[in-house]
Amino acid sequence: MDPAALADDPGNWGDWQTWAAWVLVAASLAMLALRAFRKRRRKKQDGCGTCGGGSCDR
Amino acid sequence: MEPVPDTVALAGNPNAGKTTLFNALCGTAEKVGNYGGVTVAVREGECMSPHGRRLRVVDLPGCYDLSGASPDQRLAAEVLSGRDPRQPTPDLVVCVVDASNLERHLQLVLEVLEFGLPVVVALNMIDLAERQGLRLDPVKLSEELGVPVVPIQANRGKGLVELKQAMRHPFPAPPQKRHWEKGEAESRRAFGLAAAALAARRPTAHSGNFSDRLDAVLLHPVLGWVCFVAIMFALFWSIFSFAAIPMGWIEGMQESLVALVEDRLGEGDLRDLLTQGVIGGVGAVVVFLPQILLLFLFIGLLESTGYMARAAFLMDGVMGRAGLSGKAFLPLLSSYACAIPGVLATRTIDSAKERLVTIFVAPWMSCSARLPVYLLLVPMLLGGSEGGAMQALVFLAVYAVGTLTAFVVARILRGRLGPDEVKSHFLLELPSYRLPQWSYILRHVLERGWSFLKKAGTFILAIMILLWAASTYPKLDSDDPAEVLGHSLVGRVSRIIEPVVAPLGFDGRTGTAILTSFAAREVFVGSMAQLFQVQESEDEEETRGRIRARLAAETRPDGRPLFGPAAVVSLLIFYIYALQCLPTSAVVARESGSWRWAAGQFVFMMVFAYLASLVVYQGARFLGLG
Repeated sequence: MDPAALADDPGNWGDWQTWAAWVLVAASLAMLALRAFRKRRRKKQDGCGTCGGGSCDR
Repeated sequence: MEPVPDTVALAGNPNAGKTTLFNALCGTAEKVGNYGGVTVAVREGECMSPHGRRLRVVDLPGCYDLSGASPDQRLAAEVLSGRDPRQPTPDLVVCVVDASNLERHLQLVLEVLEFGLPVVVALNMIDLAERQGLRLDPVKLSEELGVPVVPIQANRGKGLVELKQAMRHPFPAPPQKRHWEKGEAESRRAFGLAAAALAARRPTAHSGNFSDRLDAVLLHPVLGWVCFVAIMFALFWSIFSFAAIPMGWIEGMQESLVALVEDRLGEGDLRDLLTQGVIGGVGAVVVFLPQILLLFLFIGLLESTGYMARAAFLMDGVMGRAGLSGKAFLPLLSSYACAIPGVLATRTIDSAKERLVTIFVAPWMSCSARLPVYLLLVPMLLGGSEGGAMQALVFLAVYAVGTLTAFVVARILRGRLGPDEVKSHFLLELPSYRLPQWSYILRHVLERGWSFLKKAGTFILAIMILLWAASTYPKLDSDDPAEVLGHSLVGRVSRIIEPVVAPLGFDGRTGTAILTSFAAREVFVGSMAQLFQVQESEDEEETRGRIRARLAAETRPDGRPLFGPAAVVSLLIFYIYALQCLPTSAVVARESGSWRWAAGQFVFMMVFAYLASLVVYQGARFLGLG
């Protein structure tokens, strides 16, 4: 797909952006799920992980 | 196969410098402070002996004796006696003592010697002792105690090579068990005092040193409080004044980024997501980074110089009136950074009931996650045009409101729980004033800043993107941003929330932003930036990057400003009191041993926040101030 041609066509350009925005939304959901998983694993390993790291000094 | 590393335990009184030595040995950067009780759990690290042998180092909580009255004393005693199932019995104990205060610190050393383990005494803070005119004799002390004594200065790394030499294989033989005559504690005390007198000879005439002269002012019943309030005022004033310039840079960068994205991308969802969700939402949180860095820098300075211990001394009387002992001060002080270490620090409190009460009120000490919310709202209350001094006063008041309410509730709760079986004794050591440990403070400030940025760049970014999607979809083919938002998921949620939050002076969007801040309080600022930007996008050139201006321009259907003084104070009050931190509830449940206690605390604080906001807003409206 030629980006220049897309730029000339606002409709297509808009569609492309919608898809890209949804990819970012899905990536955000995946990131939050991964964060929850890591926190759980850390809690299992060393009994901490309550704050997800960074909040307290432990 | 690699041999199992030997375990070396660091033991000593609070504020003997155990954690500083732990950091110096293991190359870590655990939190240290010029006051006792910073360590309430066992920390572990590794270092190498001079012969290249791995050593496992465990940093025990500081305590004055090993009688086991409080959880931290019990923990230290269990590790040393090999009764802690999580820790092997130490192969060597390094007793860290403050050379300038040998009389008190040797008492614990004598208790440790009775465990029959190999012991090395690290005579720390020799610089301070020498400045006080003490003449130290480590050889004499070693003869008296029957164990090696190594003079060190842990914060400068002096004497560490010699200490590691003493920590090498074979470890020194355990000292012979002493047989105390008559009362054990009394005999031990007498022996410790005699040994200290031999090993550290004081100058004949004790003239008041610099610390004593400064304490005459800073601990004075009246002047001390004047200085305390002045120091806190200066702290908040400088946060507002000094941070203005770097905040301007961040805002400028934010605007350039928005311009760049708008220049490169045509109209569309991705452009909206990047400008409103990512740059607008995350940027609204990141802009407070300079103020957060400054706050931690000043707190680090107060801790490192020794002023925090004086603040604890001043507060002891106030704590007594709240039905708490001075031991509750440090947990409450830690809660200003984050309630989680604050709740953990209650382990130093002997009385179980006092511990429960301290855990209950700790989240009302305004934590650093509330800081961006306050930093957004306080200038709005003053019309955004007032000077730093006025803002600092309001800021001081915001912190004071949470703290005073915590004391009042603590007193009521303490009375209801009844008297204690174990009386809590508070022994506070006033350390000499020291020059700040700049390298440690700067490292700690940078770590805090990095952790804030990391949170903004990961967790908050993800929430902002999801919030953008929820405020954009399902889409409506309309040019009116208010209609588009009203049709979206957020718009629908807002309509459900609005009747609940309207009596507090908030609209549905503010209610939704409050709801998002249950993920993390800082998210509120980003959510407000996003949810109100949608409405104002028609004149975005004028208001872009100025969230306060955008909020100030919002009006209600009857033409009154949406964020008048009554609504802003109501919002501030809500954030002071609401417990919007699920990790804190999890830690409270673990430390109190009861989910009911944690759930009760959550419900009480949420209802209290709601009712307090309601009274403030409706009261102000009734008086015609809204």
